[in-house]
Amino acid sequence: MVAVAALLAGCASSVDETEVPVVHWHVGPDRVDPRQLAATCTEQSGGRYRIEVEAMPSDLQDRHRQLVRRMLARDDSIDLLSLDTSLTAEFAAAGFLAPVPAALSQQQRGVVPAALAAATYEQQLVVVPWFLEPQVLWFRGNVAERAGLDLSKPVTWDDLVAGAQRLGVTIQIQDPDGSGLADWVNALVVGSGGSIVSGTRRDAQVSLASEPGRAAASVVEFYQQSQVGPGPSSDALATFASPTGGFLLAAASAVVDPDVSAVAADMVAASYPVTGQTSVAPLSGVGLAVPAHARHREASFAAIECLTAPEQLRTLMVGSRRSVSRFAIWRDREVRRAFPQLGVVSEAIKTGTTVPSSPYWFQIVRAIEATWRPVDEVTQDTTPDESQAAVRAAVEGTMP
Amino acid sequence: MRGSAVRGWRWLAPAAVVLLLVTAWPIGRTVWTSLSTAPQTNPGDRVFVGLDNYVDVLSNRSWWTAVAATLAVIGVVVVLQLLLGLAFAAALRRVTVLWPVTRVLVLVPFAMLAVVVAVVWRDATTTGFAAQWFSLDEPGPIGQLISVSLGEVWRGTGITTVILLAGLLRVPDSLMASAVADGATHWQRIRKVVLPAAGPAFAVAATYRALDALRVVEGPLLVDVPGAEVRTVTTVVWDTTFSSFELALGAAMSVLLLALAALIAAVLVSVLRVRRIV
Repeated sequence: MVAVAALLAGCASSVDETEVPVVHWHVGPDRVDPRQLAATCTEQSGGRYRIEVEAMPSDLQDRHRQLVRRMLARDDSIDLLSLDTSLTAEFAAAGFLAPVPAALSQQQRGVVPAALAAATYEQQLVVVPWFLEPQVLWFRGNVAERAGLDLSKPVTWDDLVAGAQRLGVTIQIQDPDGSGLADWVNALVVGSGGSIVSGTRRDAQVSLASEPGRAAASVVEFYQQSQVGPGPSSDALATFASPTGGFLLAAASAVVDPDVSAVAADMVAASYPVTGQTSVAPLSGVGLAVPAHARHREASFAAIECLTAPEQLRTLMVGSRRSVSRFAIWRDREVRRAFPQLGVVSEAIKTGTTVPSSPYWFQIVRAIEATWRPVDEVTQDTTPDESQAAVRAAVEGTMP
Repeated sequence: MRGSAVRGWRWLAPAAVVLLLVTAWPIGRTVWTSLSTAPQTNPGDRVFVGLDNYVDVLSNRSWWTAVAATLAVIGVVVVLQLLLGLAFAAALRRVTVLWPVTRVLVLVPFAMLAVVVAVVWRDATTTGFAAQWFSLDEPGPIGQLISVSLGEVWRGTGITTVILLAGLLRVPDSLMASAVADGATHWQRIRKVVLPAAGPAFAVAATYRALDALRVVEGPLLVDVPGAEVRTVTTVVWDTTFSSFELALGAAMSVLLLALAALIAAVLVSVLRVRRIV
């Protein structure tokens, strides 16, 4: 009996001493190596935890499906999540996330307001903001000048499309992970003064069959009729770097993508094209969250604290041009030297829009994909109504 | 007599209880679930809605398209399996050398995982031999659905053969010899001698293969694309439950799928009922 007790005690103490909690950090694809950040934080923790990076599917719908299935199954093998901002509402509503400790949520002063909003659900901070970046209008060299466009102030979609057509170059739209079309439609609708959906419940207001919805559809219709590009596509960056490339609507961080390395030195950023009065750019990013069933909650939040510390944010911003969640980093001299487009980005992040905060957003994306693709069949007469019905069904949970 | 019946029931009771547990409980839960609206990722929106989900599904065009597509797939798969299986069975009946080996060999395709078969047959028509032989380019979603259905035919023909062979072996040789001696025509021999003896096996094969074809999900799921126009019922159920996470709507569809299975079985059993003469 005594021997057994001694043995058990020995076991317990050896666990305490030698076993460092492993924080399994699940990440989507990124241009900065998360392993490097993980190694830095593991080192800085002084043995309190060890971060191991696990890759998730690169397609956002696949990632969403996999994560939701794992969360519903109470999978406890995810300790830390790089959570896309478009997932915040759904994961918070479903109760998938561990509450952010008060100490950490009080540190959110000086955080970019849009990034804070994207990490909040029903007035509660549910995710720790990490980065949030706008899409900008990229162009190569003197293309804008040759197209007769003055891009020092925001250009309208009509002028941009007409200019590109005149010059015989394309306007590429990024879609790296399947979110491109929904982000585009959302920004066009919000830019025209509307919103796709407002409300978080089944009875949420869907307003695509509206003046802003028709304005958005007319932009898409004019874009495809002018044959200046294929709409949102996964090879947008590569095509932009090819001889027919002229304009590119993509995240500010696209400039460090290997696909555009040949023309990166020649790339200039301007504000996202306007539909209404102001430039409304799509904003998307990533927050850090701890799943409710994570095994080492404390270690996970300690890891978040490290990953959102100024030093790591600076690495992220310089290395990948992600506009990180803290303004203090933006003012850093090293960052400003590495990131000449920061002026355009800081304007865009103020006026841009994230996707609506709806637990049904991913069903809405499927409805938008079903009704706005193929892009060359979009018309302002039929698409808004069809899309309205499909999105309404998605929110109500009925068959389309 | 009474005593032995009670004893018999006592022996059957455990099996009956287990059967009830593994069938009645999940079916009951599915029916109960189907009466609410239950988005799995938004528990706050869970409310009892009665039969709304059924009304929604049954009044939906894409549901009936899926039912029609499923019935078409079942029809083609079962008919092809029965014809091919009958041809093989007739041939195997005459094979006397190594007969145990040949009868096991025809079962080999059935031992393969359905999803492996589906991948192989899809690839055959997109990039493989079938694409080259018939110079297909881009079979498209419907073409791919046909190719995985043919894969299901390939996979199930062996088991159909074995069932049909068992039926053919029940045809008494002496009866056949008498029929020949009486000068019965080929057609008469089939109708009056073969069918009465082998009929029940045909009915079993048709019903079993039809229900098996109904529940096939691997192939259709493999070739399913977002926004596909033609889907099978199982794919729609899967998509609703595990991609849209609408648990209750998926449950309602599952109940309707069960009803469809019962309907198919009822129709087949009454149509194929063969009077036993021998």
